[in-house]
Amino acid sequence: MATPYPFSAIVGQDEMKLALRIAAVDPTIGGVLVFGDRGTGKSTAVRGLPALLPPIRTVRDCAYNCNPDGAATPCPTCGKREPGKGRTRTIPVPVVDLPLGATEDRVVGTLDLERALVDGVRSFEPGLLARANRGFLYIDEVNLLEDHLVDLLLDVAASGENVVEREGISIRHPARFVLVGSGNPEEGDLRPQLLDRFGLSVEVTTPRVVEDRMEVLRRRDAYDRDPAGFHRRWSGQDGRLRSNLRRARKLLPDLVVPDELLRMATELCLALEVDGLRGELTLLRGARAAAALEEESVVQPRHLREIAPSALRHRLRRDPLDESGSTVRVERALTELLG
Amino acid sequence: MAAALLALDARGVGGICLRGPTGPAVDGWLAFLRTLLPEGTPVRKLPLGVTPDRLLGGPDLTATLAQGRRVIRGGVIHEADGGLLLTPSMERITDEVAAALLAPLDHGEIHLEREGCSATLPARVALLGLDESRDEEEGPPRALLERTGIHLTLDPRWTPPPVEPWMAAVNRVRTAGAGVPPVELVRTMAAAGLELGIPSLRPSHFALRAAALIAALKGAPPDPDAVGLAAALILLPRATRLPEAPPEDLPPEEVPQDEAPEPPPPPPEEMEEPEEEPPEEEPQQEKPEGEVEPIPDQVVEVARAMLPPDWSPPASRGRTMRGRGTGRSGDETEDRARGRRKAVRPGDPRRRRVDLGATLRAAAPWQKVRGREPGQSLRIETGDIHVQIRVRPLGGQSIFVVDASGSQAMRRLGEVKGAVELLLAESYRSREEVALVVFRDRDARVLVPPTRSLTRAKRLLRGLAGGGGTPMARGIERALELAVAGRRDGKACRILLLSDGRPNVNRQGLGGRRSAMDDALALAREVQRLQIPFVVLDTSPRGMDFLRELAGAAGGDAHHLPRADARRIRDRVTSEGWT
Repeated sequence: MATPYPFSAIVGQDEMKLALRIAAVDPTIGGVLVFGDRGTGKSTAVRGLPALLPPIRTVRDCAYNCNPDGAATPCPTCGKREPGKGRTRTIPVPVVDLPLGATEDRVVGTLDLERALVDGVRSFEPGLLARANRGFLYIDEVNLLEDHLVDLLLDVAASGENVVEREGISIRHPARFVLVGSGNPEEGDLRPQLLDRFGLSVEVTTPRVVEDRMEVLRRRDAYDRDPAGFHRRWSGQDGRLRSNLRRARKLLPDLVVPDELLRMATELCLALEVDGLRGELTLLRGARAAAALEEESVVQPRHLREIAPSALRHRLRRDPLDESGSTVRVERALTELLG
Repeated sequence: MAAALLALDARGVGGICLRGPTGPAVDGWLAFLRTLLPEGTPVRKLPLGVTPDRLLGGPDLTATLAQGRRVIRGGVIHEADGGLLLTPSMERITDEVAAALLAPLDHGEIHLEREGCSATLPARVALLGLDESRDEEEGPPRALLERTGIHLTLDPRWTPPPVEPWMAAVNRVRTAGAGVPPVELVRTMAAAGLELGIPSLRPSHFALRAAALIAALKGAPPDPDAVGLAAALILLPRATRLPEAPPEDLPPEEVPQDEAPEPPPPPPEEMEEPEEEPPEEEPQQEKPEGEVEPIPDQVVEVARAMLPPDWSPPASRGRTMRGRGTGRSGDETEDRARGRRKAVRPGDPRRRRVDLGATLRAAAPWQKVRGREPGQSLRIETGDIHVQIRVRPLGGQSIFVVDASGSQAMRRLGEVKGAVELLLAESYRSREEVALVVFRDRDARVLVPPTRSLTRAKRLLRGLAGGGGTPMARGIERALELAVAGRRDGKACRILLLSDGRPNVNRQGLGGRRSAMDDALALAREVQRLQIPFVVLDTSPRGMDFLRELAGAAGGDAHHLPRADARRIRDRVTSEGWT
């Protein structure tokens, strides 16, 4: 796709946009799940992301997008290189699509079939995980993806490393990416164990106001007719988001998290009976990234409030007799806690 | 008209889901469509048991070996590029196949990442789906229905119209084009989707294109007739409410004053439609005062005029895809010996059956690397070995038959609703499906078709109505139909009847205590004959002899639960060993 639909031209869907920007500021947030109605700009938003992110410098000819200045876990070739030397290139942040029918060998990488046939040589051909290193891996309809693939992806995403043992080849390469999954809950549920391995979970709904719906149809139509022109018209908006993201990344490490806020996060999780520490951690990281995006120096309770539904709604235990959805329950707990 | 639209821009109008039993009508319709399609338009049939490599594509092994370079062969979807994918028995399509169709339908291409091949193949296809499901079945996957534009039920007596005039019109539009839809039309369609309770914008897109094409076929600008027809083909079949009927839970002061008097209160059957009420999540957003504009009245009127007079918004059709995520075993359990071959994967031959073909295919490309010895025909290594993953359907289906008649109806329904939701919430572990049949007044209907989706059930369970007569026989009859259909899919079905009284409406929907009781008993004996487990929960204060008799006739037990609340019902079901 030459010119993707601009991120800033998406009508509404503020929660989803915030979650994606947070993941861009702090990739350790642990992935974003976007669940909801179809045709709400889920994949459009993900594809529009690279335009918001500062391009990355990589080692030229490196299939794993290694950082030329050295990386914690470089790929086998770059590991032998001296950091800072060699030719580099600048590429947009990779956003790699994982199609539903993908087989495991293409995801993790496998032996290069052609070279095996022609030259009789065993060589490793990197897969999608390699391509997504330092970027995003996007799965549309993640709830329909084969279980074993989802498991594999979550494992790699958590460890940041892909280990391949195949055909006498043993390879270990970096695979740090933000996993973004989207789907429609009416078309199939996602296993609860998988749910809570995503950092943020966002609910999207189609606009219910005629004007908004028309605006969606109109902008889509304008984009379809002239993608380049449409992109130009929105480049200012996208540019503002981009510089905001860049500043937010700089601010992030020095942000102050008051003890009071930590206590609030803990209390909120206790009140909602969220098991494990993952909820608190995500809550904290999310609030910090949200504060960075507002270019604040201290994390405020409002940042916590802003991020709490996305960080916690998928971690609540189901209570089928409680009619209200999990979002409402999070809101209720927030109100009780913060007033 | 539908055929002409498909012939002109199948993707634009989103393809079709043609509902009806196989027979001369469907054959005739397909033949008619073929004559209208441009010459050379591919129409590829998608067989039910299609394998992933034939569906999506993959390495062409023979050619790859012969030419010494990677040769990719496209699958059926790619072969249908620029044309139509004919899917017979769309309701039986497997989730794997349906999932593979989504991306091509959305983006017009296949992103192939399979078995050492990475490629993007064009696949601008539209579905030509034949849905042969009957009413009690759930139908095709909802994800596919959503992406299919026209939903048409074909009258079995349909015969093709003369080809020539249609041919001429189609050819004219094909050369001239349909033009850009005017702004008012965009507005109408955007509003129509909202008014009819269709949240997705996709159908509005399809209808917009269809309206423009219909107008062009008639050689006129888009008038209410064209728009109405487009709406009748695409929007109304998915409507979850009608604009005339103000949502029931709307506080009176929010009902637009000057529009209220005209529509008469909807007939009782419509009141029962589960989705007439807007989703509870956003009651305020659903119809903010003054923000939703009524669609031009003629459009809905014209569209309705094309439908049968007793038409009401259909109960939502379509089954939930299994979501690979719901459990390690899914709703199928692995069976090493029997069952459907679900996947072939590298694996341990001691644990599963070896798939010879896949193993040989995996080994073939590496022969040169492995340095085959002379005289040795093939070197196979452990990593080549592929095994078959076979599955058979697992799990049961609990069919609740609930008496919604009489004064206690609402309370009982509330509790049953709670029990159903509890069971579904727990079915993450148990893989149990739940269905709900409600009987009251003169008839019974399937309120919740067999489902495992709590989200879906919750939506369907809204807007339950109660009161009236007790047509118990009809209720048992519907439950039996479900059980028979479920059994055909290999599920263990059970029927659970909740009532506090005796029937007074018979199988024909006529009043009369005696015949009503006889009919109910007769159906109970049918349950016994089919060996379907049957339990009665008697919620009357002192226990009803008739209900005991009924349970006996069905070969089951009656339990007296005078204060049946959601948890008690659930516990009862669980203690029966049903989940």
